[in-house]
Amino acid sequence: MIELSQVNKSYRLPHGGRQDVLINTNIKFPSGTNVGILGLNGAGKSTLIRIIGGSERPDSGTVLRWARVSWPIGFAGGFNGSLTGRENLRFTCRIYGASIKEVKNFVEDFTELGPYMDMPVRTYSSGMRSKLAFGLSMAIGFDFYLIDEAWSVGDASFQAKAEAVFKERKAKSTLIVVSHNVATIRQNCDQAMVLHNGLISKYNKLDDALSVYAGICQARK
Amino acid sequence: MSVTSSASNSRVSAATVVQGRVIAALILREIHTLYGNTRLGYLWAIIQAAFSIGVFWLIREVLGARAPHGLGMAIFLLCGFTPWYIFSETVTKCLNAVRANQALLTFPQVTELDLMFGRVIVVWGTQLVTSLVIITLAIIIGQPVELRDPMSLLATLLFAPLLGLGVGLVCSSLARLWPTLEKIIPMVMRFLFFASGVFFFVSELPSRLSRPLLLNPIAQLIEWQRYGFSASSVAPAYSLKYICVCCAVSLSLGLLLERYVRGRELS
Repeated sequence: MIELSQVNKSYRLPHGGRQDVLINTNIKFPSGTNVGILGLNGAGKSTLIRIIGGSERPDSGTVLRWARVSWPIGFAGGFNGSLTGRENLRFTCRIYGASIKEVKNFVEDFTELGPYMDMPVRTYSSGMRSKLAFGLSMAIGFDFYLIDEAWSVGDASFQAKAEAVFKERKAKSTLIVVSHNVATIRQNCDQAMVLHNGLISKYNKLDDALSVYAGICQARK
Repeated sequence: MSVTSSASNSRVSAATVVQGRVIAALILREIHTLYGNTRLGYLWAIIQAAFSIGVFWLIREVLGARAPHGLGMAIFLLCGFTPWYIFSETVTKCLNAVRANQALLTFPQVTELDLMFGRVIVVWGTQLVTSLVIITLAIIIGQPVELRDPMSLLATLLFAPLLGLGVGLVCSSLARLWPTLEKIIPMVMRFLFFASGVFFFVSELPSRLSRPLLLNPIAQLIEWQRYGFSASSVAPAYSLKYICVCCAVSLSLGLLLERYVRGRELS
């Protein structure tokens, strides 16, 4: 379980003032329920997932994790662009104390990156990056997977593969997915929340959340 | 009571294990990015150091200057460059640590402080290996090398990275608040290079010059390290107490400031 209580986060704006990203946020993520978080671009989804994972500290409030939580798996962070995929893999294994050999075998098989494993990550397409990140996190093994859009960039065959691997783990692992893409959430989540103007609204039914989010998107147009 | 304390104990030791893993991984990564992309690899660290010592050797040779106090020229310059490089490289590396490794901070267990610890250790180790190789070379070409006071060598090799880390932490934290410092600090370092006695004896200058220059703890470290190799009985121009205070103050201030600016976005 992961629990956020009274979490606040804001960013400084260039000309004074602050932009609130999260206001008094209280969320519980129980194990076994895959949760999607919907929000417009810039609503603070990535900040929220970074706070859940511990990459970023909230201004105030606490985050408790009673589980092994992955880093936020996206197509941007986590990898050093000038190092090769293999070198980044070694680094990640070392900081998580995982066996480099086992992880390497799994990742090579899962990502089908082939010779690209020995090329600098900066030459990768965003799809290749997210494959590497996703494969790596699957190989290391977590109770909670925090997924920041990464899924939506993969092609159909990758998505099918990822789904298959994840189905295997579902008994033990839980997904938290942030996305602006309704289809991604519908496909992978049991429940959804909407993040809008710093406030999180929770819905028990997936469809309720999706229709609220559709309303927000409509209002924008 | 005892249950809580043992629980918190195991939590501390688990956290230490994780931090140890992170720093070890960062060290390997750092060495790899610094020297992994060239054919000569780590040898470049030695070539660079040997080159700057060579240049100053040549200059002093042309000027007809002699290394005083029974020091060979190689040792004289090496005792200047070693503490200086450990200090200045550490400061510069700390200054750029976060910007260069932003992506790694995605991993929750990697903190800004780990990035800096990793870099200090790499700088220190590299400089140590380099100095050893150069000393060996100096002995081979027949330069006098005589270590009379091993303690002063050990102490200076310990204090230089501590001072560098302290000053580096202060600089990098302040640079988060005032980014202009990233331009100013290299200029100050350039000045310090000339003011620290890397290629001359500060204590042999007229006292109206040497007294203010010796307020600089690096100048004192260099004097101290040279004293360890020299045959001179002249009272060395350093104060252990002063150096300790400088290290302690810069480290405490640096760690405090680091805590204060932690989590602030880079501008």
